[in-house]
Amino acid sequence: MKIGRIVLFIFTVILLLAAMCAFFPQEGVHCFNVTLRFPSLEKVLTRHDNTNFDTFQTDDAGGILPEMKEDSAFMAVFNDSIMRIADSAELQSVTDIMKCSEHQLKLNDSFLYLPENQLNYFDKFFASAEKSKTEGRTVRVLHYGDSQIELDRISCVLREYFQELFGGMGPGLLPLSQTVPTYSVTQGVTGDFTKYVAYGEGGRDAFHNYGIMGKRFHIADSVTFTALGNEANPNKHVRYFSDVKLLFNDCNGDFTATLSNDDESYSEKYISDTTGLDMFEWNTGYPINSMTLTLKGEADIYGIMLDGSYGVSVDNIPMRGSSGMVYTLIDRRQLRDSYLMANVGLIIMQFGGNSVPLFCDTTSVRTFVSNMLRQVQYVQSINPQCRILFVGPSDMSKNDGGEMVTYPLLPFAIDCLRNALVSNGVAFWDMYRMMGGRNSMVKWVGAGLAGDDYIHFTNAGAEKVGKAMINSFSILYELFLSRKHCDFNRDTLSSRSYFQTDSILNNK
Amino acid sequence: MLLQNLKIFFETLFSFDSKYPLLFTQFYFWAFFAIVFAIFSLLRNKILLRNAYLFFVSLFFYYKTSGLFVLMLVFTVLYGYFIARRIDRLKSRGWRKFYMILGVVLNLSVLAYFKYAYFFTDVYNSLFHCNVEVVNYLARWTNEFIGRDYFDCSKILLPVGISFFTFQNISYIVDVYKNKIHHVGNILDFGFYLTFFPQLVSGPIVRAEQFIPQIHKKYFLSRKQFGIAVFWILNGLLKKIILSDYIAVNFVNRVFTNPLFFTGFENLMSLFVYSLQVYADFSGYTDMATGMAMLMGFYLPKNFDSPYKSANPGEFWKRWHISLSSWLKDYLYIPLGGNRKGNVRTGINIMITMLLGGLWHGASWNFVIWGGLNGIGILIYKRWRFITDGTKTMATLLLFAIMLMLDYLYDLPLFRIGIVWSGVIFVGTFIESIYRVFVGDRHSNRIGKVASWLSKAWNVFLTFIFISFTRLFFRSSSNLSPAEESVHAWRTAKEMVSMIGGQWHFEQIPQILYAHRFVFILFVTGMIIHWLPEKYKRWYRLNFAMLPMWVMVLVAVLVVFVVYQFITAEVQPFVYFQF
Repeated sequence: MKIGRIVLFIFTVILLLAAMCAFFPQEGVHCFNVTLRFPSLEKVLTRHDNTNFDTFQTDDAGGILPEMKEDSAFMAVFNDSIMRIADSAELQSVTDIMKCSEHQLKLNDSFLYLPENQLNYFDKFFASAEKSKTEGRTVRVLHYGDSQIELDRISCVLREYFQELFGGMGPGLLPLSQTVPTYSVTQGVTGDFTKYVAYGEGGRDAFHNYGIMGKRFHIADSVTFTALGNEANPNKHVRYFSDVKLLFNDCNGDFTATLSNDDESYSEKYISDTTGLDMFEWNTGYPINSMTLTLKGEADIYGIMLDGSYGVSVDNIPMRGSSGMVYTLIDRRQLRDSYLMANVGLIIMQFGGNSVPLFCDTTSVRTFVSNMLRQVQYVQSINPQCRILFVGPSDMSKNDGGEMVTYPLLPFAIDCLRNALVSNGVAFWDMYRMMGGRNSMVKWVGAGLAGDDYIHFTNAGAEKVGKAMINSFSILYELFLSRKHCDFNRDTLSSRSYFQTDSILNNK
Repeated sequence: MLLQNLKIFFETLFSFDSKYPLLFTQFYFWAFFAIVFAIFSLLRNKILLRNAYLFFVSLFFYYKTSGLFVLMLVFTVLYGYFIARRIDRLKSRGWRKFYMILGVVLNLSVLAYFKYAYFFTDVYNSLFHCNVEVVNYLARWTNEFIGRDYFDCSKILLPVGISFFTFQNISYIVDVYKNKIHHVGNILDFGFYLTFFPQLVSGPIVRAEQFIPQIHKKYFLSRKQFGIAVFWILNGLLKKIILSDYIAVNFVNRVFTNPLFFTGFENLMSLFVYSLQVYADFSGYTDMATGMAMLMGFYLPKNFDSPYKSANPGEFWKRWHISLSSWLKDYLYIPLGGNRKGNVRTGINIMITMLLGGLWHGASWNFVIWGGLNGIGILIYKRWRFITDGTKTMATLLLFAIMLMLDYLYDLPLFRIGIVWSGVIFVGTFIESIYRVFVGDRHSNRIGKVASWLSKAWNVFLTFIFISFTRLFFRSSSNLSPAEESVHAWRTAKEMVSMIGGQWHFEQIPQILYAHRFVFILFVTGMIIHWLPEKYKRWYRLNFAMLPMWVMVLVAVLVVFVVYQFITAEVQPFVYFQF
């Protein structure tokens, strides 16, 4: 065969493809529910770098984001200021400490947005956590979220941080049956039960009787629940627990619960004497890492808490597939009583990711935001003393002509969500910006921090998010300590100029 | 506008950008190939000029892929050429051996430095409880030499294709030493052999004795060969994009990234689908390389022979990555003694070969485990085939009972998988034994033929499952050090086993199948094509090859169009199953 014909063959194929590029409609051809596409000549001949970031640049030296952003010019000024403070007697000056915190917040790139810029927004929670030891009770942090928080990967970072700081132990609140496992505890259940859920697929309850986790388990006879802490868990506080609490609703007044532990044959039986929402509590007196709970009679089980006798408990409550529109479906009174019984001090809500692919225009975004706000306000009204932190959705990508790019309406949705929540007294933590903004998900996937669905984090990515969150908390906690140490009048402080953080928080 | 875009295009085509290596699945590569081939057509029968041209084109291709690592490739060519020449000219057996060892050590050192530095450091740190860190001295010296900080001294990057061209270099030096071939007289010819761009980054490993004779021949390609070359290219492209990339992004990678998000059924299916994906990925690249080389009149060795048709692990390794397994056999297994020194030594030799073969695939323990599991599979099969039917049945029954007991005692997912696995083998072995007792080994009649086919299908099925399970340890992750890689792979394997041996949620299987229907349809289609008898594959290959040129042009355009639909297809949404 003449080689000229082969050359002709190759160039004919290329020319035909070029012609297709030139004439194929750029919006694609819709055919049997599928849109057929072909690239334009411009797209083929030029390369688009889709790793442009609209807000923050990532560092190219391996990791995506350092724990703290390193704006070199700013860092120089900051370090200089630190040195100056350290060298002088001004170190004790509250003003300088506040300035440091202000600097830190700026370095933290304002992932955290506080209502009316109140840097003391979480003080109430910090104060009750600190008092928990003297009061001999735990303060709960409920971390609600969608599948992004499954496996207890982000919550566990927060838990370890808070428990190191304020004391406490154990994995916190668990459902009777947890079919998506977590790294923190191995749990099992035997016996028959019926599950009712306020979200996703499953049985619905006409009386909105779902409880604190948005799901309840109705048992009619006998059920055995087992939990085993992972002794090899890198987070040391989660391995053991000393307090076991059972949140339930006795249906017929015949409900009994027995706790036993293999090691020390610890056993105690509680018999319910009332109907309605109730809580059994066992204190083993020493840390254990496994237990068996035998439940008999007809009851609704809302959750089992494995805690310490004081400090903070962080509860991982994933709601797979949920967009967060779940709280108003739960009976108001029941939710309020549950929060009070469990002594909830902080609620973290992490939703939005499941709605992002459904955004078709700005109206759909606004509808989502107003619905979300309604949910948050519902929880706020139930427990006004409790602080709420909303964690916005991460960056998410879709395929745009062979390139993965951020969902077009995602940045707009986050801005709307943030503005709506912050102006209604809820703190907002911007995960999207923490990741690096537009198209950062592509880079996270490349760096092994997120999976190939361009939605979910890997373990490393989840840990990074958790650490960034505790970084925000730690800045505010240090501020809280400074204020406490100096016995400074908060009201006076909040009116001082360096607390007017508009320049920091709203300059993005 | 078009002129400006063309200017950008050519600038991009000839400059190096680490973010955009030349890949066979990109338009840029095919534009590059078209230009290379057009010039090649002018030089095709001027042998030395043609070979020199292809050598420099290959170096340029490598530069586009790996930047200044091309210097390392040139260095490999230089020492390979001069050492082999020295060996060929020497008469003294001792000196010949010395230079052969020098050549092998040099190649292995290059490989060890770039590929295994982190692995060895990790092993050293683990053994002696130290914290030694890897420093890239070579990068430091090179930066000093070129006068700028081109290479990052804090880490050692892996040059693309290093495992292939160093092994090719070793085989050349050893073959010259063994007088199987004479050294290549001209360094340009040798450079062309070692760096031929279609097989430079992903193999196959081409032996000098297979390839060198071709490089001195004039160009010839029949019409039918041309058609087959085009077929291989299009076949490879379809395999790579549809059966590999699409199912990886939309299913396999998700499960492997977060196994606990998915049910046991999804985890198990992801293992099977991954088997197809990894085959389609690797063989797809090889098919394209074969087609391109063939268009230029060169023939690369067959690297895959429908490996999932294998009826036992030993056969699998004769069909999978053939150029590597035959390399390991000739340059490792046989020099170790092969099967000539008794059963125990044969077993040890097989295990050493498989463990090192595993390590060749990746520099971390999980690949060693993967190689080891394959070695154990081969060893068991070697004993198994000589056992009587009755003993086989009893052995599988005993294994089943042991698994039951272990599960009762420890209640671990691994043992539950063991129960199912040993139970399945027991049932198959028992039925086969009963059949043999009553019918015997007669395959001449119709029932005998059907039984023989069923037996073969059963063994193929079992081998596929075994190979799929070994791949729990095969999947590597980017951006991880060998220590992290091993931990990550071990955890992934553990989580997948815990889900496969744990929560299946049978009631959700129809939903799961429907939700992932595109992936499963592609998987089933891919496996059916894979399992087609060779005669049918040859039939459609030849029929394609004999199509008129204009039809082939249209088919090529259509394939690119279809492939583009898969590249741009919306990522399948994450499917939530409420369990």
